[in-house]
Amino acid sequence: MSLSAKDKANVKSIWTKIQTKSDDIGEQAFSRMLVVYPQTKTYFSHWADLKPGSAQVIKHGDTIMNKIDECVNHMEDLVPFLSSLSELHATKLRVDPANFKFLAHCLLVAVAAYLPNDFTPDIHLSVDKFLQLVALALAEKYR
Amino acid sequence: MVDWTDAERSAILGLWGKLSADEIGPQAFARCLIVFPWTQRYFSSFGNLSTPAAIMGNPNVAKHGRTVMHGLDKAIQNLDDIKNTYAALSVKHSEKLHVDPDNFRVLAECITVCVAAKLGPAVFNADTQEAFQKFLSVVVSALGRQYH
Repeated sequence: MSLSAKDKANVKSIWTKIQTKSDDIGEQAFSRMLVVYPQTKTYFSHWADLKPGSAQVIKHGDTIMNKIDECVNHMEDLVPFLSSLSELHATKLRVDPANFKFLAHCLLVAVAAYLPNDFTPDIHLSVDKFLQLVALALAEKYR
Repeated sequence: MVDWTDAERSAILGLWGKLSADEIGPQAFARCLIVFPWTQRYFSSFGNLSTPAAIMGNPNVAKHGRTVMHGLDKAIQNLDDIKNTYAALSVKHSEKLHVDPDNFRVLAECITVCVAAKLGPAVFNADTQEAFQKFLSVVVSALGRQYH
């Protein structure tokens, strides 16, 4: 399921609005994932505080969101763009790639919550496809 | 039997009180048909589903959205026995309607997105989302339980 020209246009257009609330949305997406899918907390057992609003959660939500923001400008070459991050996740972090969809889902929920009028069904469709491709590119180096 | 904490119970019931099935149902169902177009396979009798606009304006889609969403009322009233509440409906979806149960999960995702859009991040906070998704996953599991 690759991105059509329309999908790419949809993603770029909603992302200009997402940029205005990027910190909030990134933080919400990541902290919600930890609450709604508690198994994801197993990867952060070395953090002091995993609750929404904690400094580490906020910072990591930001880090992830900034990277996804950059992916919007690399929709044509996600695999090479995410190559070293994929290497990191595959060999060092060893995050089960089944978890990527949980973060993607929470990102969709956060976008819907903050931008209800802009997150129409056809935009949702394109963003869902985009995030799936980001996840796939991130899993590229796993095996 | 599912273990609901008091907080989860109250979050789910509180949330349900803030939602209109007649409003959210059509939105969620239309969104499902648009975002996951293969779900349209079960609705060839519904008329024009050729574009997002057609789907969102289709009265059969709206009606079915309301039917499905109101179907959740029974689960809300029977939080401690959702499994049995949906036994007959599960048989129906399997034997008569032949619906791939993965569709239930996909619709549940769309319902969650529509609820988030309706209520915003402060009301539909992380704990409320957790409770609501747990509720929906119990419903999804109950609906798939009688498949064989």
